[in-house]
Amino acid sequence: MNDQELDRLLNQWKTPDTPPWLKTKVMAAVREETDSRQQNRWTLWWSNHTLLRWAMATAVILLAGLLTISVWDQPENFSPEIVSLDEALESFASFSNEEVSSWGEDSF
Amino acid sequence: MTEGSAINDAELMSQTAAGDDSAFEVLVERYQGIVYGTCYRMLGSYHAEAQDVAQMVFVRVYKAAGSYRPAAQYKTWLMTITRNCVFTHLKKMKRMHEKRVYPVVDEETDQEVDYLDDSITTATENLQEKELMQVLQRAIEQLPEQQRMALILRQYEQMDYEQIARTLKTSVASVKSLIFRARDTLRSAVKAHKKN
Repeated sequence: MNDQELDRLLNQWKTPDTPPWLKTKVMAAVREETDSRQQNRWTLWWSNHTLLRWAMATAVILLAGLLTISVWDQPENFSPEIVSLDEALESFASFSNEEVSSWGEDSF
Repeated sequence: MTEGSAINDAELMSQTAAGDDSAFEVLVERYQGIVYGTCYRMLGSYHAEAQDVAQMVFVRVYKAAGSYRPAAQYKTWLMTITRNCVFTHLKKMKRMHEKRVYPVVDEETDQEVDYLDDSITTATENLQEKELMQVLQRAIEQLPEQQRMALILRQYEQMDYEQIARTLKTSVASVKSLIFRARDTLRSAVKAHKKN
């Protein structure tokens, strides 16, 4: 068997067409890779910054404390219509009466 | 591959490294045939495996986009990655002791497939050629991996000796020797079959 004959035989070995979904599969795998890489990068960055995590936790606690204090400092913001203790009591009494009567209707 | 398209490949790779997925898509489109064909022939005509390995090759290319230097011709660089993926896969297969069975069966139709050239006319000729092709394919499959890869890159991808040497990380003289020995083995296998 000479070289030409061998070449002729070898050249008869054809490959099937590239499957059309190969590119789609590759691009999906690449996107997955990019996503996981970005996720990993963020996780790694976050776990490497202990000081920053402490600083952020402290900031959140401080913010919550400041908010609570500011709410306590301005109670009139929550009931602006009540101006005196008597009015507050009156309002409470009328509210209670309404509640009691409505309970009565519902129950019987 | 022309010089122009080589420059273009390098540009596309730098765009890919910068995060442009559409540039990478163009590269996949351009080279999927070569990568898939090489995987298919190296892995003994198995579609599913060839697809998986071809996919693995492109994912690796994508991951390594940042480290690509245009000094190396893109096709050579790509074929080096293909070679690494194929050899890794073959090692895995060896560990699993999987045996190849011919002929090839189409996964969708479950029918026997042969990828012989259509130019063969008569039925007897076709049968003889088919038999010879099977002998040849088995002989190719039994070649050492480096010889097989060198032969496939030269015969089917028309790569020159220097490109093959770079892909296989060896010398040009060694590539010539690998191809010579591979062809010699194939010739002997066909001769032995004809005698029988």
